[in-house]
Amino acid sequence: MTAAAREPSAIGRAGQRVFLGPIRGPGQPAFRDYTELPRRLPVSAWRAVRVVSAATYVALVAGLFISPAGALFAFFKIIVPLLPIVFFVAPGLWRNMCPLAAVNQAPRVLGFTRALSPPGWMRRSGFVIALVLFFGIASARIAVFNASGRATGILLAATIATAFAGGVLFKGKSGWCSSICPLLPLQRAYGQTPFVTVPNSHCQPCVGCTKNCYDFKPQVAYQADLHDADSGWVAPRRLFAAALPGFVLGFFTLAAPGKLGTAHVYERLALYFLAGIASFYLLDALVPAISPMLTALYPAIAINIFYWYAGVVLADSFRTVTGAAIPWARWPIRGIVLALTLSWVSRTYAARRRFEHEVPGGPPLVRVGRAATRALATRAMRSAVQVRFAPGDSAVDAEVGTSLLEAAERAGHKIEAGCRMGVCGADPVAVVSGTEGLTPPNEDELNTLRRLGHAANTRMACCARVMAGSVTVALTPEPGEPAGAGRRPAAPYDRSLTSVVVIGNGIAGVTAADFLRRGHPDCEIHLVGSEAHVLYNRMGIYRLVYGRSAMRGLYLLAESWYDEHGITAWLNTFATQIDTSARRVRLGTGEVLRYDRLILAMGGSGASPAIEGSGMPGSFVLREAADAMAIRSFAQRHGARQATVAGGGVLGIEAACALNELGLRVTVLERAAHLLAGRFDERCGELVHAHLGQMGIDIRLGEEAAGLQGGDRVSAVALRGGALLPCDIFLAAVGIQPRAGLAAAAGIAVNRGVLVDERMRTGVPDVFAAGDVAEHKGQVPGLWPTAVRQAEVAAANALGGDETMTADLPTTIVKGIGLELASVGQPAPGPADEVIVVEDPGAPSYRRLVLAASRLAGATVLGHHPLDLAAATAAIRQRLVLDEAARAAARAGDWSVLARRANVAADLDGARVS
Amino acid sequence: MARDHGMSFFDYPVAVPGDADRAPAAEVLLPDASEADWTTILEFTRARRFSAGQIVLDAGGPGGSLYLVLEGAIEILAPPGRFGRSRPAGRLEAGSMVGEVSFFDGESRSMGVRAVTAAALAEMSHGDFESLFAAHPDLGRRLLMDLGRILAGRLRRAEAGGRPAYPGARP
Repeated sequence: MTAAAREPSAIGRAGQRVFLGPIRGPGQPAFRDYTELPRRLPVSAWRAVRVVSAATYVALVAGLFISPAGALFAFFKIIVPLLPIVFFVAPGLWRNMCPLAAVNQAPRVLGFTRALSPPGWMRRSGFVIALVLFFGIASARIAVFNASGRATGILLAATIATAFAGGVLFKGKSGWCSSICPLLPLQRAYGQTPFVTVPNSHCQPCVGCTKNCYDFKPQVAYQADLHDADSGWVAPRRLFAAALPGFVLGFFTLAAPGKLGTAHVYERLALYFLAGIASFYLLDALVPAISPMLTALYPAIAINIFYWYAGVVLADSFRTVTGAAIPWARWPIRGIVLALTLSWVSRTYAARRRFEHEVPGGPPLVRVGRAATRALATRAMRSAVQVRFAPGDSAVDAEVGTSLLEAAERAGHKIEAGCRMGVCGADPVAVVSGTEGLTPPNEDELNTLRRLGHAANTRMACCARVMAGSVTVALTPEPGEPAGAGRRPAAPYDRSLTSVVVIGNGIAGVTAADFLRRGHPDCEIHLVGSEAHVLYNRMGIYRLVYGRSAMRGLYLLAESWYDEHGITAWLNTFATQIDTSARRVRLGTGEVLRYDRLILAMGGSGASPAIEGSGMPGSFVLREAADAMAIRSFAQRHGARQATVAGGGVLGIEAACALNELGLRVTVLERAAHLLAGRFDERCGELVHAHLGQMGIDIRLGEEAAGLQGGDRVSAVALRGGALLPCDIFLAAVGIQPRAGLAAAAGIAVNRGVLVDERMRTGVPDVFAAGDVAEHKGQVPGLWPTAVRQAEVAAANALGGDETMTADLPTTIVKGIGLELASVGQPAPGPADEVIVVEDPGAPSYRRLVLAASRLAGATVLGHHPLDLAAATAAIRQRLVLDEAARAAARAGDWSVLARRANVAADLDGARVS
Repeated sequence: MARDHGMSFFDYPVAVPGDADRAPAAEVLLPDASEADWTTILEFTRARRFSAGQIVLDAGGPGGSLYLVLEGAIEILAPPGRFGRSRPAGRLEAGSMVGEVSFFDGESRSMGVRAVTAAALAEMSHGDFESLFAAHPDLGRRLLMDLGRILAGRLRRAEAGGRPAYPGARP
């Protein structure tokens, strides 16, 4: 035995399952070999038993010649009827005391065996030889052996001589006991689930002579035979089991002398034999449920038949030997055998189940090299994130770095998403557990959380990325006090202030009002909004075009928010006039609001191209919720089929996708040579072009609308090139027009938008502007984060502080086009700048970095690379210098280097870039 | 340590005649690969997590990916029999590989896989492999050749004397 073999297998150790059957005690391996089985008698005692047993055998052979009647009685009426039950209860007992085995093993014990390996045919066909010998000899009892002491004597003598010869020639037990012994098939069939195991005391040591050796592992040998890969090995074993009941029944019912002639007896016996076999294979084919158990059921039936008759024989023999008549003894014998058999069958079933469960390896087993152990563990650790959703506890497994928003979308949960930057506040979720595994909130997110005012465990799903462990979130935030301060105006407020008016109820206006209240506890704050809605997710309005859910889920604040913050909201109300000298704002309803400070945050409207027919029914812009709903209702009312979108920028393609989703045939007109010109490079535009093309959207580059044609509504667009494009809906997405008219009328300096300095001051004292209405250094950025930042600065300065607008990192995230696409920082390289591009042609995946004098200045990410985008954003914000090694890694596609260099978070370190 | 079916219960101290053509205890994939090599290979996989009892792969489901057990234990499920019940046919621990056959032929899975404990598997699709090959041609070639070697060995043994499709297959 090797040390390894002595150890319980890993399977055994790991198998803490509870098995049927009493064979295994706790902590024991499932199937033990003979060296591990409890040994009741020492080997020397077994030797003595074997000397007696062999001597008895020799005496029996002699007796068969000298006193045939007595010896035949002893052999056929006592020994033979007792053997099956010994095989059944304690097969090992016979394996150890069998005189034939003793003689077979004598050459090994005495050291003169040649210990050859048996020839292949003998290994393969030993069982078949034994099977033929068994049925041949047993059936010959009827005609020959039962009545002839001499014949039986010759048989037994020849048998023991063969066993001895086998021992002289072949090693171990392969010359007789475990190969061609006629009793072996019976021992294997009945010994498959021993009640009592008696460990082998012959083989010291084991020489590995036999496949699936019973003497080596008694409890598993027969199952191993039946489950052998070689069907040629299994078939004769099944045949033997199949043949037993018919043979035994035939033998006992036909053996009574005199009734039939010998030839007829054998004909009948053959019929019984074959009928039994036939029934086995019929059941096998027709009742698959019991098919695997037939090799136990048939021997079980056979042994009951055997003792039905042998019970009588044994009772008779008892009377013959002792003179006491106990004919009733047949019944306890039959009963005990039946009880034993029932138990045996169920134990065999359990053993089979256990065997099948414990077969190690399963399919051909392939393992990785030892050196991989740690790499596997590390990889597992990095991937070990899971997001669970309460209630319901559905879970989604994710890569490290996945945002809660992505996880929720992947899990198919309904969740609103807006800017995906933590600014808009569309996707608050409650973190029920696992907060420590999330990236901490940045300032933008804290600010938004503060504005939303949910409980301290609230996070913006788009910002919180899972870095470790399992996080449980609820998609509805809990009420309570927000944690953390968020930003607030730094300076003490101007106590002389009593009233501030904010015009505009978009993100800039609401942020300004929120910050005013954060900085000033009790001044009046009037918020005047022309739209009929509280603050909503403007980035989600595309859904209003194609979806049936109207405004549901788009509101970013509860209606009560204004009251709770002491803000007087004027919704669906127009500011019609500003009097900067009297410090008054006149409303369309006639009311007049007096102000100490005024913040203009009217935003912008969708610009309409100055072309003929612009504004006729069927021509739209898409800027406000009302626009989206108007498009949807117009399309339905007029059965619109075709739409043309003027403008292939971000807004244009988002609108095109929404119209496409509504079921219209959409054509996009883009003046430039590629889509998304300005914010994205040409290759990126091509990839988006191809993607939209696959969605069925027709894109015309270098083309623009020259005029609209139609009677009462649009019927066609005339293109600059002269062609006429039929359409029912014309949607202009050519830019944002700041709503600066009111300010201009009030004498406030206006260019495209209201001109502001870096403190968000307009040309008029105490009047500020923020968001899309404001023009700073010639720019009207049109981005939520910028609008928020400007509104904060405007509010702080309105309260008497002194804050300046720092250069913001322009970030564009394209949404709703079925493709993840974002641009951060500088989109186009200058003449001396370096560009690194990584493109995966197989998937929609394109990543591009712009380096200005080795400093990271801009990034474009198309495809699912959330960690890369986060890393690049952090690195660009730091204007990180990339050395040659880092550039090489980035060129090879490994952007985790950006995260490491930017040191954004220790958790990000080493995280795989997916 | 798990061993090949059959001989696993009969680990005699000496070799058994006629058993030389049996499979080795377990094939080792890339026995000479270093830890760094494995880290690189695993970079090109996607990790998937399963809770105990969760089905990892459906028998008959789409193939095409190779899986490495990163942690935990999974069990192979023999195809459902006539009564539609899948039987466990072997248990695999961390470091084992499954799916190598359908990785190559892209055919549907011959066997199902279920997580026994909470488990993590690294999945390598064709696309992942292509990426690995593109980024690390030498390592990709070694991995491919070694998978070929293992499958060739299996074919050789199959030709020498049929193995069952799975252990516990009805004899």
